[in-house]
This record gives sequence, C-alpha cells and structure tokens, in this order.
Amino acid sequence: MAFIKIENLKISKERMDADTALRAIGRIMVESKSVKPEYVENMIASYKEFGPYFVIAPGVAIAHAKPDESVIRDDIALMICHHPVVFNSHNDPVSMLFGLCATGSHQHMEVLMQVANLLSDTEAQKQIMHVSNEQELFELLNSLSDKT
Amino acid sequence: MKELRVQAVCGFGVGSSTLLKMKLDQAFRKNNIEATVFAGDVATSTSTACDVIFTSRELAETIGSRAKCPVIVINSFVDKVEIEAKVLQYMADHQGQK
Repeated sequence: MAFIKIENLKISKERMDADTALRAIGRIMVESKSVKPEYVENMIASYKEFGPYFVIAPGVAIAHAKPDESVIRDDIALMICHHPVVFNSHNDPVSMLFGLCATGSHQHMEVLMQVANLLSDTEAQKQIMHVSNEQELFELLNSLSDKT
Repeated sequence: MKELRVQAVCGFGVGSSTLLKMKLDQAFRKNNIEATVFAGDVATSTSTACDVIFTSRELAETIGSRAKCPVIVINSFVDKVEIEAKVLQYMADHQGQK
C-alpha cells in the first residue's frame, strides 16, 4: 500500500517561490479535508519565524506547522517540483516537497519511516523525478513501499 | 556509564525531528551505545533535560546560546553516514569514548 493517497500527490511544472510552493502543498491538504486553511497560514508563518529548517536533506523539504485545532486528521502530501524551489536553505533547491499535518506529537511514525526509507534510496528518488503524472507517481510509491 | 538522553529538535517536535530521532536511534544502536532519543520542539528544547541536542543549522542558531548542553548540527536528516559520524564525534569529544 502506498503511504500517500493519490489525491495527495501532485506534479508541478510551475515556477514557484517558497510561499507559493507552501500554499500549493497546503491547498492539497485543505482539499483533502485534513487541515483548515489556517494551517497553511501557520506553515508559512513558521517558515518566516524559524527559517527553512524543514528542508531536511538536499532537495527535500517536509513542510508542517504546529499540531493544533487547525489540524483535522493526520495526513501527508507530496509535490514533485519540476522547477525546484528555493527556500534559502543549504539544502536548496527543493524538488520533493512533503506537507505534513499531525494531531499530536507521536503520530506519523510509520509514515515518516516510509518517507525515511524512500529518502535513503537514491535510485528511487531519481525514478520519482522522472514520472510524468500523478497516477505513475502513485504506482511507483506503491511498488517502492512493497519492496521494504 | 549512565544512559544518554538525546534530543532531536525541530520547530514543533512532530515532523523532521521524528525522522531525525529514528536515524539517531539507528546510529546509537549500531554502535552499541545506550541512549534514549526523543523528539522535541524548539520552544521547549532548552528547558528539557538532556545530554546533547541534534538539530538543523537554522535551529542551532536559535537554540545555541540558550542550550545547557552541546548542540550538534545535522545538515541532512536522512544521511546516515553524516549522522553516525556526528554521533561518534560527540561520543569522542564529550563522553570520552574512542
């Protein structure tokens, strides 16, 4: 089973600045009814306050905000950016932008484990950058998580 | 030696710090070092008792001056080679382990 629902996957060919990219990944989580729109604003505010610490590895970011009442349920989304996004991090530019929302601090362990496995598999990351649509991305993630 | 208390810190203690915690757990286990690794958030991290903090470069700047323990910067939270090297460096520098 893929750990990210197909509705939560997006391949973006747009050129985006950091705020636009955060809004785009945030919108996916709003449309999935996992967060309220305030959560997206909180993600952007957190970026302004703490800087791009969520760009956790070269080319990879996990955007999120604090677990609070703007989170409806635990969820994760992924946007592949064909025009990588600059966050002013030493790990710039970002081509894999995850969006994460949690109802508490101890959720998500399993999902994050899958993300970690994926990120330590450089071959898989290369493949991800070459899929052309969301359906292909979904199938690729499925086959990768079956492997582990 | 008493068990180490190790804190992985991110903005809110939910996303990236959990990922880093998992990688730190692996690194300590692989080297047979007994450690309790937990995730923390930047606001409360310096008032939580621990022996060492691992975090990102940006947050290290914020935490650095307030922390009562060494703060180790991790550039890539998923790079097990970097994480293991920094764990071992910490053990050598602060815990007298070669």
